[in-house]
This record gives sequence, structure tokens and C-alpha cells, in this order.
Amino acid sequence: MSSKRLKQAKKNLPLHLMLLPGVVLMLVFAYVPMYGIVIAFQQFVPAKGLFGNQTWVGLDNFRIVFTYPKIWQVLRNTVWISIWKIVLSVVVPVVFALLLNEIRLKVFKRSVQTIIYFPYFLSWVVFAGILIDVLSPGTGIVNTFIKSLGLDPIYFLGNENWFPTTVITTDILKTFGFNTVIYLAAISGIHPELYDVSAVDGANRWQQVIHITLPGIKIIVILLTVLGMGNILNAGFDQVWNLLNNNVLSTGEILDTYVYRQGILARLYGQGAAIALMKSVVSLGFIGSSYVIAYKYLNYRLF
Amino acid sequence: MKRVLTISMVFLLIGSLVACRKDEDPRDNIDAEEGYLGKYVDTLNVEMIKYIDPTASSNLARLTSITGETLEDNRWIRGFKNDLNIQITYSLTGSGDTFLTQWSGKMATGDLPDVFQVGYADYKELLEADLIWDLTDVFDEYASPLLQSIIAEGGDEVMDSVTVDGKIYGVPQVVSQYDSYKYLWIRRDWMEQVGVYDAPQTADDLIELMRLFVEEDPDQNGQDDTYAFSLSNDLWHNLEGFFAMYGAYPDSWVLDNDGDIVLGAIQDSIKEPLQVLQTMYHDGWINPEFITLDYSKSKADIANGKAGIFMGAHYNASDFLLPSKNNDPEADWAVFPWPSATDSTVVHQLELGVNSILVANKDFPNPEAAVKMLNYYYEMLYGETGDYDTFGNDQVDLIWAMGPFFSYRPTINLVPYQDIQKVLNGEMNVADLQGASLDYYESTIIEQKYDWKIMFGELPDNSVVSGGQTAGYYLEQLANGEIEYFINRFYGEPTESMAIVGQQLGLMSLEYFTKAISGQRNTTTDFDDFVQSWLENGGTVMTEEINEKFGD
Repeated sequence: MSSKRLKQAKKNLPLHLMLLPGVVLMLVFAYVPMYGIVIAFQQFVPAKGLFGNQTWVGLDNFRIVFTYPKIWQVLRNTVWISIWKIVLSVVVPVVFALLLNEIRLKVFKRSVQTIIYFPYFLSWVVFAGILIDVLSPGTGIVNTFIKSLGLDPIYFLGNENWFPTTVITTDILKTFGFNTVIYLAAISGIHPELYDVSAVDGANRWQQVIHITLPGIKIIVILLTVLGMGNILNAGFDQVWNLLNNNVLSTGEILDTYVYRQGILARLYGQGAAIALMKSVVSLGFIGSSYVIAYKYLNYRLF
Repeated sequence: MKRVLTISMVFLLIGSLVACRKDEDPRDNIDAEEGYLGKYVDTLNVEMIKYIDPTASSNLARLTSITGETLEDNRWIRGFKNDLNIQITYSLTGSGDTFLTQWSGKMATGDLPDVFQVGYADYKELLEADLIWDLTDVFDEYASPLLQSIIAEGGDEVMDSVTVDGKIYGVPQVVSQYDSYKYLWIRRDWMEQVGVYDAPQTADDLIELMRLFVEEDPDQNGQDDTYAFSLSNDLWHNLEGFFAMYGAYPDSWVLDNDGDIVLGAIQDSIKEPLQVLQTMYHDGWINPEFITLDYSKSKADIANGKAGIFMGAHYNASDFLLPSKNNDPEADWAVFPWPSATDSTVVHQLELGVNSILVANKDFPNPEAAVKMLNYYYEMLYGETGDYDTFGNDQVDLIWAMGPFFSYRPTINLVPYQDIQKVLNGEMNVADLQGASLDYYESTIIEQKYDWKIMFGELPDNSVVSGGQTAGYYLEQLANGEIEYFINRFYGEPTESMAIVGQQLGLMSLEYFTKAISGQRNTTTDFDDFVQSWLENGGTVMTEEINEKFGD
């Protein structure tokens, strides 16, 4: 090793050390537990232990999973809800960030930013409790408003036709503030000279947005979308579990809540692990292919 | 994400088990005095785990502030040490999901305590993996007459539920099967208000009373804002009694006319009561938002005087009815007998009264200690040489739950109720009250706590409505057979297919019943579809398995 490289390594050593805790945590919590995948191929009895004399059943768990009552309906619900969430969780914050960016009054901009950011920090248990009251057809303020317009109240959480819409909307409501902040940060990274130059060339506000701002944040939009694609089978356990009730199971039960019932409550560890494994494979596939698409057609480079 | 992390943690915690096991006769190791409560010569260290009941934990904190006792060092722990020379240590304490997760981890790594309580599913796994002692002989030899009589109070099914091929591998820790009886609580002041002065004699009377409670403005506030009764989306807790009037049992396994065990939810007897409920919902008698009201949220309807009928457990007097009394001093709750909707008397469904099963690790050389500890536990609470005042309820509630076990005798509420009545009738002196009876007497009569009074004491005598009683009155009737009941025909660990589809089939019932009550499904063709779908999705196999196991 040349003395130059040694010097550089020495210089970077603190940075590598700072990286260490993260890498260790990653190893401990993400890689080591991967051994647990073996459970998906076993008739797993916890009392015998992970390294104990478990019965190997090949792909039986995977086969049983597909005979579960209503499994296909649950998959349909999951994909439907998560596709909408993925799309809207990009579109809504981008639009909002663009609008907010046009506001010149700093105080107003900052306060709006903080207010919409706030729900992100509430846990779903708390937020769901608030939603149940706010969306109540009898006493909730949303329905009081609807009734004041002369319309019939809507049972947002108790009606199976409305439930997916409610889930998608409230999730966006809770998270869009956070994503807006990310896009605002990206927008502020665009060099102001570009706007000045375009103004000299006679571009109006709308043209500036289309030709400068959007291309400027394109890379962040793509990055978050690619990562979001991995969530195609994650429709949001915490949210749905806290809002779900027996009347909306046909449209509201998602894969994660189903797995929780089967894998944890009913203690079918093997089958729970089998579903989790399939989910991971599908997620990997989606992230991989969306990356390839972004790489080929949008010139996006991660490495 | 958090869920994934938790699951990963469980898998991470899972390790290997020690393969070799000792199989010699455990009784060679015993060096103790004779008798059910024989003291060990050398201190016997027993490692246990302790699940802390959430209600007990706040009482424990109060006890700590009063006497300095803690979970690890309290009168129970000292009692076991002084009287049996058994030193108890806990390798795991906690409550809620955290405890269960940590327990799964311990179990999977083979890090088992010496003597511990498990549920039926764990019990089956442990005995199949040959990790716990066969306690058949130990139990025969060491179980005290008191322990045996307490277990017998729970019915024959209690022992059956832990018996595998004629052997028992654990001792059931009983609670009361009567606790699952659903009482019909009605506000007598409202009955008076709407001009009904007698207990409903038929189901139609009860429904007529409900109509009056909805339409006749029983709270006299001039608004049409009352419901027939309070209902949450935890349907069965509220509706078991209602269905039982019609001989229907939506969440219980019952015997049909051919002597086969079948699920009550898919029987034709369901249709009529379900239709009645649907009509009630349609007419606005039931809170239209019951779908999103969970059990604890549904309290508001009772507490705020929106409903004058509550169908639920005796202990709901504390969490449902007491707030109602606090908000409205006029509120006057009493329990009424369930009228019948058929020609025969009402038969109720109860659940087996077993909290958990006490087992002994095969690596632990003194399995008889498990039985002797239970002997001691019950002796202190209910025995002649015992000391209920110290161990049951001294200074704070639930001292009995701060020991290593969570169990009480099935007649825990009955006997104090009977004793209190004897004192009130002059058949017994207050000075003769002992143990739980004295404790209940203090809460009920001396401190005049409203919820205790309507459960075990006496009702206010200023009501002109006849037929109402305290909960204890029905407890007595249950115990002496005047109220007929059966124990759910299924108990113990889930059968093979039940483990896979049981959860989902249970949900299927709840979904259909919720939709039928709220009028989104009819009770004729849609009911048949529900039954069909239940049977096709594993119900048929599950029923066969249950009949094989419990059928004659």
C-alpha cells in the first residue's frame, strides 16, 4: 500500500468507525435473523428450538398457505391499497412541495410545513383513536360537515366500500408532510441562478416549474419511488390493524394483518415464515426491476 | 417495520436445546418432612416465571410504597421460604406482549424455568418434546385434599383437559367457570319510568321492555337518544345471553340431537335471534356505530345513560355500571333472570375455568415441589391453617396475585356472597366471617361500594320493581343447578386443522354476524352461504377432529 493510500485510509478512519455501529446493527438485526428462514421449511415446534430436531416438510408450508381461506382476496386487497399508497405518496407531496415553494411569506411557509409534518410523529395507535372519533358518522366533525351540506353521513371505517379509500387517504394525510419536507429540501438544492437565467429568457412561473424545478428533483422522486416499489405487499400493518373491524374484512384485511393472525396469534410459525419469505422475494423483485427500469430509461445510477 | 423487527428478534432469540434428559424416578431425590406441606431439609431453589396481571401491577406498586415489599421479596416469597424452605426466584417477569415474546424466546432456546405455568398449546408442545415431568403419581401422592377439592369445583372437564393417554403432565390452575356466565343487567329506575314493574317473563317481554327503553324516553331528557342495550364489536361478550334465550350458542361447541358436537354459530337456531337483532338495528335500537366500538369504548353508552340494559359479566359492575352510577345517582342496576324464547328453560354456555397449567421441568429433580407449592398457596388462602387476611387482600387488593401463581377457587365469589347474606339475615355474626368473606363484607357493607353491593351485597330497597337480584344470587343458582348450563364442548389445545383455520373461521362468524345485525346480509340465504363457506373452508374437517377427540 502506498503511503498516499495509507494516509487517506487514516484520514477516513473516523468516518469508517462512525459507520461501524450501523453496520453491526444491520448485521445483527437484518442478516443474522435470516437464518430464521429455515423455519419456513419446517413444521416448527418452538419447544424443540431453532437448532433442535425439527421436522423438515419441504414446501408444505407454502402449499398450505395457498389453501388458507380468503388468501387471494387478502392479496388483492393488499396490492390494491399499496399501489394507491405508493402512487399518492409521491404525487401528493411533490405537488404540495411545488405549491409551498411558490409561497414567498416565510412565516406562513414554515408554519404550514410544521403543521403538516406533525401527524407523522403520532403512532398509529393514537392516530387511529383520533380517526375513529373524527370519522364517526354520528358525532365526527367530518360527517357533521357532510350533513351540513345536506348529504347522508358516511361510515368511513365501518363500510367495506369506503374502508380502502379511508385507509389510503389517512395514510397519505399522516405521511405527506414528511415527504414534502424531503422534496422541499431537494428543491432548495436547485441553483437559484437557473431561475434568474430563465426569467431573463422570458420563462413564466409555470415554465420554470416544468423545466427547472421538476427536472431538479427528478432524481429524488425516482429514488423514493424505486424504494416505495418494495412496499407493494406492505399495505401498512400498524395502520390497518388499528382501524380494521369485522365488518370490513372483505376489503380491509391485508397480508400483514392476516399473517399476524396466522403466524403469531395462531402460532403457525412455519407458515408465517413462509409468507414472510415470499413477501421478501416479491419485494426484492419489484425493487430490482424498478431499479432496472430507472437505470435504462431515466438514466438513474445508484452505483 | 416494528413488527418485522419483533419477529426477527424472536427468531434471533431462538437457539438450541439440551438434548440429554434424566429419566430416573424423581422421588429418590426428596429430602423433606412428610405431608402435603412437608418442609424441605435443605433449601430448595425453584426458578419460576411470573406473568403480572395488569390490574395487580398497580396494586403491587402501592404495596411497595406501603410496606416495601416487591415482586421478588414479599410475604408470599417469604412464606414459601419459611414454611416449605423453598426459595423462589424469577427468571422472567412482566406483562403484555413483551412477556409473551420473551417467553417464546426462552422456550425456543430451551431456557426453561423449574416450575412454571403454560397455556394448552405450550403444554402440548412441551410434553411432546418430552421436556416436562409426568405428574400423575406425584399428584396422587402429594395433592392435598384442599387442592383436589378446589380442582373438583371446576368440574370433571378441568382434569380431562390436561389428561393425555390417562396421564397428567401438569396441574390445572383453576379460576371460576361461573365468571363466564352472562348476566342481564337492567336499570330499575328506567323500568319504573316506563311503567314496567316486573321482571320480563318471556323473551317478548324483554324485547317490549327494550322498545320502551328506546321510545319512551326513559332518561326524561326529551330527546330520542337511547338504545335498547349497549353493544360493542366484541359481539359474543354482549350477546351470548341473548342468543341463549333462543337456545342458540354462536361461539360455543354444542351437542346436536344426534349426539354429535357441532359449532353453535352454524345451527338453524341462530336465525331467529339474529333476525330479531337485525330488526332492532334497523329500527335504531342499537348504536349504529357498534361496528367500530370496541369493548372498552362501548362503556360510554352505559356511563352516559344511553342504554339501560347491559348484557355481560358480573365484574362489569365495576367498569361499566359504577361509572353510570357516578354520573347519575338515580341509576339503579339489578340483575334479572334470562327469560326463555322457547318452551324449555334457558340453558347457558360457560367456558372451562382454567387459567393455566402448572408444569415441572424434567431437568428439575423435585417435581413434587410444584404440587406442594400449590398445596401451600391454596392452604394460605382457603385452608384451616391459612391466613387470608395476610395473603388475600391486606392493605391493597389482589395480594393473592402477587404470589407465584394466578389462580383462585371457583367458588371464590359464591362463598363470600352466601356468608354476607347470612350476616344480613342474622344467621351469622360478623365476628365469624373469615378470609375472603370478611374481605368482601368490608367492601360491600362497611365501605358501601356500589359495584360490590350490586354484585355480592344487597340492592337498594327503595325500588318498586320486583324480580331484580344481585349477581351473587345467580351465582348461587348456577352452583346449585337452578340455572342450567353446559361447559363449551371444546376445550384444551387446538386440534390440527383448528390451529390452521380456527382463527379465520372465527372471524368468518364475526363478520357474518356483524353484517347480519347491521342489515347488510339477510338471515336466510346469506346464512346458508355463510354456513356453506364455513364448512368448505375447513369447518368440516375441524368438526370431525373435535368429535374424534371429545365425542363418545
